[in-house]
Amino acid sequence: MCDEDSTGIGEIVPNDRMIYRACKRSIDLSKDKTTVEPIAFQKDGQNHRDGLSLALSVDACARQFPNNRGVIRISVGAIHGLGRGLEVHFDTADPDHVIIRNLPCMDRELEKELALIVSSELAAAAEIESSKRVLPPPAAPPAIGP
Amino acid sequence: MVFNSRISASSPIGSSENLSYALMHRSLNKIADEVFNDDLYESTEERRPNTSVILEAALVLSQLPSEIDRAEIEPYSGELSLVWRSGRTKRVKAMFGPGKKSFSVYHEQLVNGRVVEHHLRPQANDAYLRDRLAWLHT
Repeated sequence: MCDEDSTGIGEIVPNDRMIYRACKRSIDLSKDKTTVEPIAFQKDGQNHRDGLSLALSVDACARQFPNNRGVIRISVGAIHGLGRGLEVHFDTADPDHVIIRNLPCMDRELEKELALIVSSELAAAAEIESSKRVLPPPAAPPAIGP
Repeated sequence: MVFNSRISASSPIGSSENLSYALMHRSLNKIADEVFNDDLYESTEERRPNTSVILEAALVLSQLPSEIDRAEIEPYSGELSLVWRSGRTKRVKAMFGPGKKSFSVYHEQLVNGRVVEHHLRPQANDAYLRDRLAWLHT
Protein backbone atom coordinates (compact mmCIF):
# COMPACT_ATOMS: atom_id res chain seq x y z
CA MET A 1 0.00 0.00 0.00
CA CYS A 2 1.10 3.60 -0.30
CA ASP A 3 2.14 4.42 3.28
CA GLU A 4 5.62 5.64 2.48
CA ASP A 5 6.42 7.38 5.75
CA SER A 6 6.71 5.35 8.97
CA THR A 7 8.01 8.17 11.15
CA GLY A 8 6.29 8.29 14.54
CA ILE A 9 4.22 5.14 14.02
CA GLY A 10 3.59 3.59 17.44
CA GLU A 11 1.89 0.51 18.85
CA ILE A 12 -1.38 -0.90 17.53
CA VAL A 13 -4.46 0.65 19.14
CA PRO A 14 -6.56 -1.90 21.10
CA ASN A 15 -9.80 -3.10 19.50
CA ASP A 16 -12.00 -1.73 22.28
CA ARG A 17 -11.14 1.91 21.51
CA MET A 18 -13.45 4.24 19.57
CA ILE A 19 -11.73 6.68 17.22
CA TYR A 20 -12.99 9.83 15.49
CA ARG A 21 -12.53 11.60 12.18
CA ALA A 22 -13.48 15.15 11.30
CA CYS A 23 -15.71 15.63 8.24
CA LYS A 24 -13.76 17.98 6.01
CA ARG A 25 -16.31 17.96 3.16
CA SER A 26 -20.08 18.32 3.26
CA ILE A 27 -20.29 15.12 1.19
CA ASP A 28 -18.53 13.03 3.87
CA LEU A 29 -22.08 12.52 5.13
CA SER A 30 -25.16 11.59 3.08
CA LYS A 31 -27.46 14.42 2.03
CA ASP A 32 -29.97 13.51 4.75
CA LYS A 33 -27.09 13.37 7.29
CA THR A 34 -27.95 9.85 8.43
CA THR A 35 -25.02 7.84 7.06
CA VAL A 36 -21.30 8.15 6.41
CA GLU A 37 -20.13 8.26 2.79
CA PRO A 38 -17.12 6.28 1.48
CA ILE A 39 -15.32 9.49 0.45
CA ALA A 40 -14.73 10.14 4.18
CA PHE A 41 -12.26 7.22 4.12
CA GLN A 42 -10.56 7.89 0.79
CA LYS A 43 -6.94 8.99 0.68
CA ASP A 44 -4.26 9.86 -1.83
CA GLY A 45 -0.67 8.77 -1.41
CA GLN A 46 0.67 12.21 -2.25
CA ASN A 47 -0.96 14.00 0.69
CA HIS A 48 -1.38 11.16 3.21
CA ARG A 49 2.13 9.78 3.27
CA ASP A 50 1.84 7.95 6.60
CA GLY A 51 -1.79 6.78 6.44
CA LEU A 52 -5.24 8.17 7.22
CA SER A 53 -5.45 10.37 10.33
CA LEU A 54 -8.07 10.01 13.05
CA ALA A 55 -8.21 11.10 16.68
CA LEU A 56 -8.87 9.49 20.04
CA SER A 57 -11.49 12.06 21.02
CA VAL A 58 -14.06 14.39 19.49
CA ASP A 59 -12.32 17.39 21.06
CA ALA A 60 -9.02 16.42 19.45
CA CYS A 61 -10.79 16.27 16.03
CA ALA A 62 -12.29 19.71 16.56
CA ARG A 63 -8.98 21.16 17.72
CA GLN A 64 -7.22 19.77 14.65
CA PHE A 65 -10.00 20.80 12.22
CA PRO A 66 -11.91 23.73 13.72
CA ASN A 67 -13.81 24.23 10.44
CA ASN A 68 -15.07 20.64 10.39
CA ARG A 69 -18.53 19.84 9.03
CA GLY A 70 -19.21 17.21 11.65
CA VAL A 71 -17.43 14.25 13.23
CA ILE A 72 -17.76 10.51 12.60
CA ARG A 73 -16.71 7.61 14.81
CA ILE A 74 -15.64 4.04 14.19
CA SER A 75 -14.41 1.31 16.51
CA VAL A 76 -10.88 0.04 16.10
CA GLY A 77 -12.21 -3.51 16.34
CA ALA A 78 -14.44 -2.90 13.31
CA ILE A 79 -11.45 -1.68 11.27
CA HIS A 80 -9.23 -4.62 12.22
CA GLY A 81 -12.18 -6.99 11.81
CA LEU A 82 -12.68 -6.15 8.14
CA GLY A 83 -9.84 -8.54 7.31
CA ARG A 84 -8.40 -6.11 4.76
CA GLY A 85 -4.99 -5.82 6.44
CA LEU A 86 -5.72 -2.41 7.98
CA GLU A 87 -3.97 -1.52 11.24
CA VAL A 88 -4.71 1.37 13.57
CA HIS A 89 -1.55 2.74 15.22
CA PHE A 90 -0.82 5.35 17.87
CA ASP A 91 1.29 8.35 16.84
CA THR A 92 4.35 8.53 19.08
CA ALA A 93 4.52 12.31 18.59
CA ASP A 94 0.87 13.10 19.42
CA PRO A 95 -1.10 11.21 22.11
CA ASP A 96 -4.45 12.29 20.59
CA HIS A 97 -3.62 11.16 17.05
CA VAL A 98 -4.00 7.70 15.48
CA ILE A 99 -3.29 6.51 11.96
CA ILE A 100 -4.96 3.85 9.81
CA ARG A 101 -2.13 2.08 8.00
CA ASN A 102 -2.28 -0.08 4.86
CA LEU A 103 -5.27 1.78 3.44
CA PRO A 104 -5.05 1.61 -0.37
CA CYS A 105 -4.75 4.89 -2.27
CA MET A 106 -7.16 6.44 -4.77
CA ASP A 107 -4.35 7.95 -6.84
CA ARG A 108 -2.63 4.62 -7.53
CA GLU A 109 -4.23 2.83 -10.47
CA LEU A 110 -3.38 -0.62 -9.09
CA GLU A 111 -4.87 0.18 -5.68
CA LYS A 112 -7.92 2.17 -6.77
CA GLU A 113 -10.49 -0.63 -6.90
CA LEU A 114 -9.44 -1.88 -3.46
CA ALA A 115 -9.48 1.71 -2.18
CA LEU A 116 -13.12 2.02 -3.33
CA ILE A 117 -14.06 -1.31 -1.71
CA VAL A 118 -12.34 -0.63 1.62
CA SER A 119 -13.68 2.93 1.87
CA SER A 120 -17.22 1.57 1.37
CA GLU A 121 -16.77 -1.01 4.11
CA LEU A 122 -15.27 1.54 6.51
CA ALA A 123 -18.16 3.94 5.79
CA ALA A 124 -20.66 1.16 6.48
CA ALA A 125 -18.97 0.45 9.82
CA ALA A 126 -18.73 4.12 10.84
CA GLU A 127 -21.39 6.15 12.64
CA ILE A 128 -22.13 9.84 12.90
CA GLU A 129 -20.97 11.43 16.14
CA SER A 130 -22.17 14.88 15.07
CA SER A 131 -23.67 15.97 11.76
CA LYS A 132 -22.99 19.60 12.63
CA ARG A 133 -19.77 21.48 13.13
CA VAL A 134 -18.11 20.64 16.45
CA LEU A 135 -16.43 23.65 17.97
CA PRO A 136 -13.01 23.17 19.49
CA PRO A 137 -12.96 23.23 23.29
CA PRO A 138 -12.02 26.58 24.80
CA ALA A 139 -8.34 26.98 25.49
CA ALA A 140 -7.30 26.69 29.13
CA PRO A 141 -6.87 30.09 30.80
CA PRO A 142 -3.27 31.18 31.19
CA ALA A 143 -1.71 30.23 34.50
CA ILE A 144 -1.64 33.10 36.96
CA GLY A 145 1.77 33.63 38.47
CA PRO A 146 2.45 34.10 42.20
CA MET B 1 -21.40 28.80 -20.12
CA VAL B 2 -20.83 27.19 -23.50
CA PHE B 3 -24.42 26.17 -24.21
CA ASN B 4 -26.37 29.03 -22.72
CA SER B 5 -26.94 30.84 -26.00
CA ARG B 6 -28.15 27.82 -27.99
CA ILE B 7 -31.36 27.18 -26.09
CA SER B 8 -33.23 28.89 -23.32
CA ALA B 9 -35.74 27.61 -20.79
CA SER B 10 -38.54 29.00 -22.94
CA SER B 11 -37.32 27.55 -26.23
CA PRO B 12 -39.68 24.96 -27.68
CA ILE B 13 -37.93 21.59 -27.92
CA GLY B 14 -38.89 20.71 -31.43
CA SER B 15 -35.97 18.71 -32.75
CA SER B 16 -33.54 16.07 -31.57
CA GLU B 17 -30.75 18.63 -31.85
CA ASN B 18 -32.58 20.99 -29.52
CA LEU B 19 -33.34 18.12 -27.17
CA SER B 20 -29.68 17.10 -26.94
CA TYR B 21 -28.67 20.71 -26.28
CA ALA B 22 -31.33 20.97 -23.58
CA LEU B 23 -30.08 17.78 -21.90
CA MET B 24 -26.47 18.93 -22.13
CA HIS B 25 -27.42 22.30 -20.69
CA ARG B 26 -29.29 20.62 -17.83
CA SER B 27 -26.42 18.22 -17.11
CA LEU B 28 -23.83 20.96 -17.23
CA ASN B 29 -25.82 23.17 -14.87
CA LYS B 30 -26.30 20.31 -12.41
CA ILE B 31 -22.57 19.56 -12.36
CA ALA B 32 -21.53 23.21 -12.26
CA ASP B 33 -23.82 23.87 -9.30
CA GLU B 34 -21.86 21.29 -7.31
CA VAL B 35 -18.25 21.61 -8.47
CA PHE B 36 -18.15 25.34 -7.71
CA ASN B 37 -19.39 24.74 -4.16
CA ASP B 38 -16.39 24.99 -1.81
CA ASP B 39 -18.17 22.86 0.83
CA LEU B 40 -17.48 19.79 -1.31
CA TYR B 41 -13.71 20.15 -0.97
CA GLU B 42 -11.29 19.39 1.84
CA SER B 43 -9.60 22.76 1.48
CA THR B 44 -8.98 25.62 -0.91
CA GLU B 45 -5.78 23.83 -1.95
CA GLU B 46 -7.59 20.72 -3.18
CA ARG B 47 -7.46 20.44 -6.95
CA ARG B 48 -10.76 21.21 -8.69
CA PRO B 49 -12.02 19.31 -11.78
CA ASN B 50 -10.93 21.17 -14.90
CA THR B 51 -13.18 22.31 -17.74
CA SER B 52 -12.59 19.27 -19.94
CA VAL B 53 -13.43 16.90 -17.07
CA ILE B 54 -16.66 18.81 -16.37
CA LEU B 55 -17.65 18.85 -20.04
CA GLU B 56 -16.94 15.14 -20.51
CA ALA B 57 -18.98 14.22 -17.44
CA ALA B 58 -21.83 16.49 -18.59
CA LEU B 59 -21.80 14.93 -22.06
CA VAL B 60 -22.04 11.40 -20.62
CA LEU B 61 -24.76 12.46 -18.18
CA SER B 62 -26.75 14.12 -20.96
CA GLN B 63 -26.93 10.75 -22.74
CA LEU B 64 -28.82 9.34 -19.75
CA PRO B 65 -31.90 11.59 -19.49
CA SER B 66 -33.71 9.44 -16.93
CA GLU B 67 -30.63 9.34 -14.68
CA ILE B 68 -29.77 13.05 -14.56
CA ASP B 69 -31.82 13.86 -11.48
CA ARG B 70 -30.68 10.73 -9.63
CA ALA B 71 -26.95 11.39 -10.13
CA GLU B 72 -24.91 12.72 -7.24
CA ILE B 73 -21.85 14.83 -8.02
CA GLU B 74 -18.66 13.98 -6.14
CA PRO B 75 -15.42 15.87 -6.84
CA TYR B 76 -12.19 14.43 -5.45
CA SER B 77 -8.63 15.67 -6.07
CA GLY B 78 -9.30 16.92 -9.60
CA GLU B 79 -11.46 13.93 -10.45
CA LEU B 80 -15.22 14.19 -10.90
CA SER B 81 -17.57 11.30 -10.17
CA LEU B 82 -21.22 10.76 -11.01
CA VAL B 83 -22.69 8.45 -8.38
CA TRP B 84 -25.94 6.52 -8.43
CA ARG B 85 -27.14 4.27 -5.64
CA SER B 86 -29.91 1.91 -4.73
CA GLY B 87 -30.47 2.31 -1.02
CA ARG B 88 -27.33 1.48 0.98
CA THR B 89 -26.56 -1.73 -0.87
CA LYS B 90 -25.74 -0.96 -4.51
CA ARG B 91 -23.64 1.82 -5.96
CA VAL B 92 -22.45 2.77 -9.45
CA LYS B 93 -19.76 5.42 -9.80
CA ALA B 94 -18.55 6.90 -13.11
CA MET B 95 -15.17 8.61 -12.64
CA PHE B 96 -13.76 11.30 -14.92
CA GLY B 97 -10.14 12.25 -14.39
CA PRO B 98 -7.87 14.98 -15.70
CA GLY B 99 -5.67 13.96 -18.61
CA LYS B 100 -7.67 10.82 -19.33
CA LYS B 101 -9.27 10.08 -22.67
CA SER B 102 -11.97 7.87 -21.19
CA PHE B 103 -13.85 7.47 -17.95
CA SER B 104 -13.96 4.52 -15.58
CA VAL B 105 -16.98 2.88 -14.00
CA TYR B 106 -17.04 1.12 -10.63
CA HIS B 107 -19.96 -0.82 -9.25
CA GLU B 108 -20.43 -2.60 -5.95
CA GLN B 109 -22.97 -4.41 -3.84
CA LEU B 110 -22.78 -4.53 -0.05
CA VAL B 111 -24.34 -7.17 2.18
CA ASN B 112 -24.09 -6.68 5.95
CA GLY B 113 -21.47 -3.99 5.52
CA ARG B 114 -19.19 -6.08 3.30
CA VAL B 115 -18.62 -5.60 -0.43
CA VAL B 116 -19.67 -8.91 -1.97
CA GLU B 117 -19.69 -7.88 -5.64
CA HIS B 118 -17.52 -5.27 -7.33
CA HIS B 119 -15.72 -4.36 -10.52
CA LEU B 120 -13.78 -1.37 -11.82
CA ARG B 121 -13.85 -0.98 -15.62
CA PRO B 122 -11.00 1.44 -16.44
CA GLN B 123 -11.96 2.33 -20.02
CA ALA B 124 -15.71 2.35 -19.96
CA ASN B 125 -18.24 3.80 -22.40
CA ASP B 126 -21.85 4.95 -22.43
CA ALA B 127 -23.16 1.44 -23.15
CA TYR B 128 -21.27 -0.09 -20.22
CA LEU B 129 -22.48 2.65 -17.86
CA ARG B 130 -26.06 2.12 -19.07
CA ASP B 131 -25.70 -1.61 -18.42
CA ARG B 132 -24.43 -1.00 -14.87
CA LEU B 133 -27.29 1.40 -14.18
CA ALA B 134 -29.75 -1.26 -15.35
CA TRP B 135 -28.07 -3.66 -12.86
CA LEU B 136 -28.41 -1.00 -10.15
CA HIS B 137 -32.15 -0.76 -10.66
CA THR B 138 -32.83 -4.54 -10.68
